[in-house]
Amino acid sequence: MNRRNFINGVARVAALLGLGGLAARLLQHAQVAHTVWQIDPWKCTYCGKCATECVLELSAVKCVQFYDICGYCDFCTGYFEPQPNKLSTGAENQLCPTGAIVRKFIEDPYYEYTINEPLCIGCAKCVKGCTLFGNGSFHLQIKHDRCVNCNECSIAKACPANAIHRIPSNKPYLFKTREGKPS
Amino acid sequence: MKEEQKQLFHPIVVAVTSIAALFILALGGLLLWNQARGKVPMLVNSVELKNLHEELRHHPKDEALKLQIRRLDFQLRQALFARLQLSRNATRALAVGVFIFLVGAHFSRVTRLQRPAPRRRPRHTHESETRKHRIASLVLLGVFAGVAIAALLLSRNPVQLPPRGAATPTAVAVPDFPTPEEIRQNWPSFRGPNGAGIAKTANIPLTWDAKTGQNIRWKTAIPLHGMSSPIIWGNRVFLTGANAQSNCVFSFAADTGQLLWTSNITIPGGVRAPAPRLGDDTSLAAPTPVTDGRRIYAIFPNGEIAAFDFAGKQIWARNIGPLENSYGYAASLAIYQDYLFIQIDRGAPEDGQSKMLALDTQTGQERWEKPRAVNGSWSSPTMIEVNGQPQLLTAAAPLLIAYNPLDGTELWQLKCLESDVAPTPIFAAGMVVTIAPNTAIYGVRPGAANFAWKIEDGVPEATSPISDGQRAYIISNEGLLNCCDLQTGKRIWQHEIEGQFYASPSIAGNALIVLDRAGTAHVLALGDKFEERGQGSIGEECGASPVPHGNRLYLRGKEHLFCIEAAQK
Amino acid sequence: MATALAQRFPPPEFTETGHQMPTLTGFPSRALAWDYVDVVVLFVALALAAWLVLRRRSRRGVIALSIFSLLYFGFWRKGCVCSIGSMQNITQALFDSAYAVPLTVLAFGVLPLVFALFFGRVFCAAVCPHGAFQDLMLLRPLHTPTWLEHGLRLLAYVYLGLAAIFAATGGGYIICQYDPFIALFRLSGSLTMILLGVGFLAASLFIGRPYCRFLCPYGVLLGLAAAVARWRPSITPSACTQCSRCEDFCPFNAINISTPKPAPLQPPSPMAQKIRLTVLLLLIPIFVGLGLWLGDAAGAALARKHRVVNLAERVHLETSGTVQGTTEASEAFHAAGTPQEKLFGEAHTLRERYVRAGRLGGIWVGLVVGIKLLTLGFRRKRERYETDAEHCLACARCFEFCPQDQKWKQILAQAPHPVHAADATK
Repeated sequence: MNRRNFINGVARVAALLGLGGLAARLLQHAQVAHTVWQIDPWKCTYCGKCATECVLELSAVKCVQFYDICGYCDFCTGYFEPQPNKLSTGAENQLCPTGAIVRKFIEDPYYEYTINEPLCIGCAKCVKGCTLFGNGSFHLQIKHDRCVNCNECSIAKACPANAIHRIPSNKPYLFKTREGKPS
Repeated sequence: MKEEQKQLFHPIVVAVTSIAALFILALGGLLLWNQARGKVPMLVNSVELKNLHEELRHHPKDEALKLQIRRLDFQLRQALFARLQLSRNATRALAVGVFIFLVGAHFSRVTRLQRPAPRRRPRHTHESETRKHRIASLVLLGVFAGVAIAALLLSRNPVQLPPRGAATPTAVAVPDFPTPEEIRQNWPSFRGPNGAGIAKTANIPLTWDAKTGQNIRWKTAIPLHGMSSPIIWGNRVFLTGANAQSNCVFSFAADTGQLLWTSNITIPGGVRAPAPRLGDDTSLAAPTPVTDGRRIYAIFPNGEIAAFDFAGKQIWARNIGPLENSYGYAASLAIYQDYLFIQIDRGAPEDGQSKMLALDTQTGQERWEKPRAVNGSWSSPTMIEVNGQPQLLTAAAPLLIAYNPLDGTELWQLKCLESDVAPTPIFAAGMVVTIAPNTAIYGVRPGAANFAWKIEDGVPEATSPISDGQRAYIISNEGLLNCCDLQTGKRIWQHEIEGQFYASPSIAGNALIVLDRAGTAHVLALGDKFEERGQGSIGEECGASPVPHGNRLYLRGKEHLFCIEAAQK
Repeated sequence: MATALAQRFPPPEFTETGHQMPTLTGFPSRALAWDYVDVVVLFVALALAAWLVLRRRSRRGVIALSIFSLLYFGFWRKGCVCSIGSMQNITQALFDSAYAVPLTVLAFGVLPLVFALFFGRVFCAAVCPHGAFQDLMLLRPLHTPTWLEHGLRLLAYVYLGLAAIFAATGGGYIICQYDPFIALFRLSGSLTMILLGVGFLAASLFIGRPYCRFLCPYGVLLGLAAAVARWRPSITPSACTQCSRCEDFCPFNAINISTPKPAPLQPPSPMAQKIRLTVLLLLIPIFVGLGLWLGDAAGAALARKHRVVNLAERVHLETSGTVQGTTEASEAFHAAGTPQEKLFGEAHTLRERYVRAGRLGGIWVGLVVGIKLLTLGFRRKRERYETDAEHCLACARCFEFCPQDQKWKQILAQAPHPVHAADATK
């Protein structure tokens, strides 16, 4: 064994020990092994970037209707334009650019609104209308059957409200509740 | 592979590879062009569709236009999803093309008859190697220099942040609000200081006439309609007005009537909430604004509330809606120190929609909120002082409630009201006077378990009571003016005035001003008998409460704002 | 505390119809099993690559494994998470106690390094989808001059320093943000990213693996590990005939040539050698100092990449009236009602962190430049053509072009009891 091989051997052992130490240190506090990206609906400012910033052509972000806090309004500010011509399902009255919200009469004066997910592009127009002027039952969520879980979420990077974070993968959605925003 | 086979295969392989290359270039170019047109929400930004929507707003009954919108909308949606499908398929085809190209390119090398000769180059010598390393060192230094220049360029023009711990101008921690004396000298809210409707030192002319110009100091057109009353601070008069598109605050010079500025509420990042549809009796600017001499605060029925400084710059704005109730939102704002109060009464008590809200005047952030088990109401919250304690007085069927303005705790309440409460209660000489429209007028001592007195005739529907400290004056909508003892409710006199009365009366010095809907004001003497001392007319419809201040009286007509002052001789 | 404005309209009671509100459905969680499969595949692929390169000496095997890796890690698993990016997760976990690195990501970061310590850069050879993609695209390699090669390699060190700075300070994962191939693997992405990927691929047709050689920050670490590797690819299993074919055919400039003899008339004087050594050694601290100064200067500018610092600067400019209007981020900040002092305080803390990190990054770059100059100033004596362990990507091309290796393989094919290359070289 020549001198060079010896030095290499020492360096190698040192590097291995270093890597081992690093791994051991990181494993110590790796309680939550897996994380996914999710939108905090309380922070979201419905800027519309979710539709354009996702690396997927059709964003993994979709609007979710949380029926529990829906007011079932006749004049749904998430469904209708600010000054609708008529409270009807005509395209001229709808806010959603892809017609992804289904309006169904339940009983006077209540209507049920459901998201037709394959049509939703995550543009948040309905979320804006519903949150600013209604109960905010429409909100955006990252759907994990579509999300590719990029190491760095490009929507999170662009989000002006810093509303997208990694959360534990065993509880992968953040829903609003009737009780309101947790402090 | 044999030579003959190579001869046979090579041209085929080269041809396939070339075709694949062309295919990649063409399809790749097409896909890139497609990408360059923007991502998915192209439909969201269709100008054509937007224009059609705009047109529909101007011609709401145009069925053909609606049909056109629907058709275009459908086409755009179809195009969007077709494009998605197309680009998905094309990308896959491109991947296959690249694969074929690579395989072909490798095969073309294998099938080539002549293997390429290795590149010829001069042999390495000691000198050539040394020179090479020297150049390499220089290039390395060059790259380092490039990195250094980039680092230095980056660090140019740093933004100096305020040093740690320094207070920033917009976040002043010290609360800033007017003294009671300042408030007394002005008319900062609906019905003036304490909502009493009284300007003790005011001295207004007894007669005026807009037609002849008698005692009219100035008259200025109001840009937008509204039922709210003027407020005064220093030499400024503020008004609100609104239409379906905008919610405005106007500032006039008190001396000349010149419109100094108009400010429109803009909710940061928000779209404008749709204005509620209302009947002709009310307006989109019914609530009167308030001021604390630092800012003007205004609320509108679509839920927008904002603060403006005296130069008209919006300080904060937010939407706290919805406020809709059956006749349109009408409650004016009230203010105490740096608390701004909003009374939102909607629906029935069991609906749980009614609440009292307190905001921070400096930021518009919420201070406290209390639910109210009451019906919808149209009366305004009033700041009163009971034995030195500030109380926020509110009235809505069935409850008269007083709150601690600082934290919203309920100080006392009395169940005595019913139906649609619009008159605002007053507090004078230990007695609250409140009105259950078309039912009864009550005298209530704060905190008492029952009312002190009750009158059942001449009960108004909309106008609020007023008191000179000894007597209470109440004018019904039909013009029946009741004067009764404030402490006992015993009638002192009654007089019927012709006309319809919606504006709440005011007191200027020792004169009571009642204003009918046609714009005629009756100046009456305060006292134990009815005495009309003069009359004035502005000649246009009038619903706002008269505002006496100094030697002047400000009246808001449907079209104009009037300033009445005795002409200089 | 619950916010007040949560529910403006009370939930309805369906007294007439007794309608039941639908329950929420369709919220699948992420399939995690694949993440573990990935680690297993990574390990097997690394082992296979080491075997193919060092034992089988098979270029064909390497190509086959490359195609598999490209398809599996690249197009099937969409290139995320990859070993290159995983370094950032590991760095962030070291500096941010709130962030725990997932086990699988840790494995992706550490396994290739461990393999490099023993077998050289076998990860680059056939496991990394980025490398495989470029390698498979390489049709007509052009020779890159050595001097350019040395200069451009510095960029990877700078990139590594920057990536570490941003990952440690929460400024984001720049390696992921500017990963040229990820958009191609996903078959979607922003136009710039796609163009960048297409550009790199087009360059790869003529330039051997431009990303790996001049930019890949993980390659820097792998190279350092491979420099001290236990086993490394040896060009020829038997005696080198100095034919220089390997050098001609290596597209990555990763062959150390056998040292030509100096002209007999001008032997290098020992004194001149000593002076040069002293000067070059003295240059190292100078470059370190220079790097420190540059890093210190650039720290505050780098901090701008952090959203908090960026927002603080914007808000300050807005309040001081230097700029007009608001951005979406500043509007969101104003709407949230957080006091500005808090934002500015955070920004100050972050800037200080960035300046500290910037200094370290500068020292790193300075040190690299100093050491590189030193190694360029002196050359080791070599009797034969050898792979440059640090920069050899273990692609196995040189084996294919080495006449000795071909001869040896023919013998091997005829031998009844095959001997392995590694044994034969002893």
